[in-house]
Amino acid sequence: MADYIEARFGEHVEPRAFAGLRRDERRAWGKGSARPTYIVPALEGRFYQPIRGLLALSDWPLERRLIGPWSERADHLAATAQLARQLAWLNDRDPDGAKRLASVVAGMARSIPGAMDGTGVDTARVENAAEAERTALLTRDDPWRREAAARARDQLTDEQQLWGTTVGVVGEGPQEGRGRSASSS
Amino acid sequence: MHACPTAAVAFAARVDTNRVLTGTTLEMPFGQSPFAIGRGVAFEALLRRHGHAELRRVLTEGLGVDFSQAGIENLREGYQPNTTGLKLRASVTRSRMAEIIASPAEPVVLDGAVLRADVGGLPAFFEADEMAIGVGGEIVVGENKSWPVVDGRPTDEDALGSALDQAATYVLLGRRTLDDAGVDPDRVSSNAVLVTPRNTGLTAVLHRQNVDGRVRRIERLLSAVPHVADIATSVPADVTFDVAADTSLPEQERVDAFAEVSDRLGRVYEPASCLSSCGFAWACRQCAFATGDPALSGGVVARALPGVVSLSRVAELSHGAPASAVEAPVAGPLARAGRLYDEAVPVPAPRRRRPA
Amino acid sequence: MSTAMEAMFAGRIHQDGHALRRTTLRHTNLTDPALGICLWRLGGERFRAAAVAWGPIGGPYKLAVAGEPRNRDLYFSALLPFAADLCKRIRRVAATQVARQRGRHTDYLPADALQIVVPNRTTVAALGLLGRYLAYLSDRGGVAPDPALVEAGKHLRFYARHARVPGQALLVPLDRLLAEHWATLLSPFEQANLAAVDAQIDPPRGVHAFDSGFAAEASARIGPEPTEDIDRITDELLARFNEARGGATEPATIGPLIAPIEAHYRRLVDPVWALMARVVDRERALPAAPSVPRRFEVDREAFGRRVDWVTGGGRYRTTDTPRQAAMTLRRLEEPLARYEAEKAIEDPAAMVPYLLDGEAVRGVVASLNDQYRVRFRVKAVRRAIIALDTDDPVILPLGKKLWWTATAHDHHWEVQDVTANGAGSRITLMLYAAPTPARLPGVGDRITFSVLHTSSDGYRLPPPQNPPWTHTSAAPPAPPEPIDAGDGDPPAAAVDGATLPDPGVYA
Repeated sequence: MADYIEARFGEHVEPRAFAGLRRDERRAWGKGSARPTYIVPALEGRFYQPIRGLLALSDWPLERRLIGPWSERADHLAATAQLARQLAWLNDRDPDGAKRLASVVAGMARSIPGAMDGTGVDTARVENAAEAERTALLTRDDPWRREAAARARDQLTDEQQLWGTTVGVVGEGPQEGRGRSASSS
Repeated sequence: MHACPTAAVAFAARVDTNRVLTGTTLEMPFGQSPFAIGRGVAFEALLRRHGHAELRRVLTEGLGVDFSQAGIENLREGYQPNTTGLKLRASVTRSRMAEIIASPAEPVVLDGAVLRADVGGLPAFFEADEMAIGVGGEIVVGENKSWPVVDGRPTDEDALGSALDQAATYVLLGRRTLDDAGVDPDRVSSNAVLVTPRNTGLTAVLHRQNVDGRVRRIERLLSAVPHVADIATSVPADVTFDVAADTSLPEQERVDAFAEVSDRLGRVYEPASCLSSCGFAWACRQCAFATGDPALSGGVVARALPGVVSLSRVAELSHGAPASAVEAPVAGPLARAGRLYDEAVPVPAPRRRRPA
Repeated sequence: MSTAMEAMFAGRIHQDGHALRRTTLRHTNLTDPALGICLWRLGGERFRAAAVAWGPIGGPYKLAVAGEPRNRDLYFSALLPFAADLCKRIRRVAATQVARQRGRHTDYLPADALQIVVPNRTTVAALGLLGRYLAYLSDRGGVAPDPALVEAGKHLRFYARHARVPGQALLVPLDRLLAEHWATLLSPFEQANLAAVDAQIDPPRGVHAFDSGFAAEASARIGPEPTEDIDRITDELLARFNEARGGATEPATIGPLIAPIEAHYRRLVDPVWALMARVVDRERALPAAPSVPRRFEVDREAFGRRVDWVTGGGRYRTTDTPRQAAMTLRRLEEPLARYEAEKAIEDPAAMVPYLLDGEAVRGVVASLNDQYRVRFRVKAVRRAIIALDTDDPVILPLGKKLWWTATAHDHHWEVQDVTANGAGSRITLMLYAAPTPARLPGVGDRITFSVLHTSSDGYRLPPPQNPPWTHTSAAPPAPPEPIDAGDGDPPAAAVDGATLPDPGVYA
């Protein structure tokens, strides 16, 4: 994200600043201020613990805020495709900005088969390649997200669905770690 | 992880051996260069970024199985960096391993798998870099290291050995985990995977190596760790590392306190393994010197001297002192070694001494 | 290795308070002056020499410091003076040749060879990696690397590979030199610290070797791998340097900014440089063993051959073919056996372990019969028989082959009989060759026989030119390729160990 902001807006953001942001948001939510949207942590999909450094918006559906075995890659592909579209738009309007963004897109697209075959960044090619790989992944990622979200809605309070849980361990033995003493953080 | 009673008691009491002697001259310098740490962190980050793109590539190329659509369960994210987090991860690792063996259709990676082991009857957690699961329902242990491989050879043989030992530990613990779950332990492959950078850059490359021999050795080492319950009953209640660890006391007092504790508990000093892993090593070496323990110069010397209590006695025997009955078997060769050496090197070479 | 010998050393050093010599002679050639090299890497970065110090041992050193060694431009421009100077020195030494007559064949070899002395074996490995990196540099942005870097890389690679030859003296790691010549209280693991070994050899007056070794170990920093305390400083200096240069790499900008980093490495090199000179001086004072010149002649020959090849643009394979691997193994095995033999035969202290382990016997010649007749096939031949009275009882199998140390290059003797004789034994030995005066000891002489000999183990067939298919790999070994593809990547950020979360894995 810091790379994107720097390329797009020419502003350097210290990645560490995001941690403070999350704390402040949590406090604001606790005060019950009347904002419609908060920046919330993404949650892992087993115990719904907050993931450090991975941010989401509170008005996104729960499915989108969960991270499972295919989600990181799928999200990366979605972001790459999105940035490729932005770059295509920017190419005509702001060549300097486009140049900066192109190197970010190139870096992100390098791991996608077929995305960077030509010379330079071909936005259509990048977008197509990213979408193709994503479509294949979604057959696994989507069902996983739906199942995990349904489970979360079943088990968690509204607060926990936004901010995640802190899991404690009850007892030892085979059931260890499956304790349900989830408390809101 | 060995038969040393002092180390075992410290482990049982959850005492961090690296902290007890902090601030004394006997504190072990185990710290690492920030550049070396940074390199390790950067290599791990490279493997994981963009949805584990580089890890997927290197596993696909190295194992000949397509990992581009593999589910990668990231156990490093979300879990607290403490014992609770480790217990949760160990539990997830355990259930995932059983699931994978039951339905081996798809390749899966557990990133940051945690395995639980009993060491001397106490639970301990071991964090593996990866446990990659191939399509055959076989579990492959993987470890990432940031030292480069050049022309197919490691740039550091010692580092290779300890990385393979680490992988072998995970293989052993993975097998025990499966065994406990009633699953065939041999489903954990003997061929561990090592992922390292190739050449001068950080581009990853995969190596596979059989670690069966190391697994057997580590199993022996683990079983040699004294059982904590046995130690607990034999350790007097007033034995404590608190005085040695008290930074408000003068150094000598702390060091003496450590020596007293380890004298009472007993210690097994073995230079190569102690000096590379135990926070007490310099302190134990000091004790070994003070008491003339033959272990001071390593196992070869110590094993050559059954029945001889101290190095000063060795020196006397080498000058032909009469031997006691227990010393008799080694007294002859020692006296002969001394005599032949004196014959070959009659006058000690004149020694130029530096001023103190 | 004799365990009784090691135990005797440990006991006596513990009692006497200083290290003991393992040898009465020096078995490694030390040229005057050798070229010393001492280097420091950036932690964990095995191809990045953050500082290279070089110069004549005992003299002043020059220092190459890149500032940011992970920047290819800065790194190469810093290494260039070192590389150029190394190439110049090697070519200069190789230029003077002498003729050597072998039978009717005359060949020419360098009159001398450039000897490189480094603090430890880790530095040997580090130079080998640096050599591998530089020897096959790819063009970057269409710009060919400076040929001096490439040539120096090839030289360093050769030196590091040759360092595996037992008894060689082209590249001398001082930790190995000391371990061979001195017994200390240090375990093999601890002997890697040159300062600790030196401090045990020469402790200050009134200080026990153990204490002086420990003090040195705790305070001395040898390299090439930096410790945490060193790189914490490097990290700070480097951050300031990188900020100040703002991406610039030209000498005019870098020059004034690099001084603090240079001073930092000077502080590290100075004590190591002094230590290296002290160690070399001390060992040089010991008389050289008779076979030292012979072994250095082998080194000179290898040196001359390689210099010719490198300066002629030759390229090394990076991976051995099976045939080469077999040849290499033999090239290393034979010199090892010969080196061990020469050492013990020439140096009474080095013979002691063999006497203790029953691989050698020493005694007084009680009688000699050089008119003894044995039937060999059909003909009776003259043989010599001696009786040797040893001080200690010995156990030797009949028929065991032994060589008299005075004729270890020649024919062997065989044990005919062993009987008890007072406190010791009487051994009857027969010479397996025609008795000549040079082959026979005198009655009353105190002499040593051992299993060691310096003649080659007979004629051996060279491995076949075309190895059988079982020894052929599916693909031919890869030709040398540049390994510098990633050296332009942005460097990883340094991470302070104290800021890492402690996962408490073992808690």
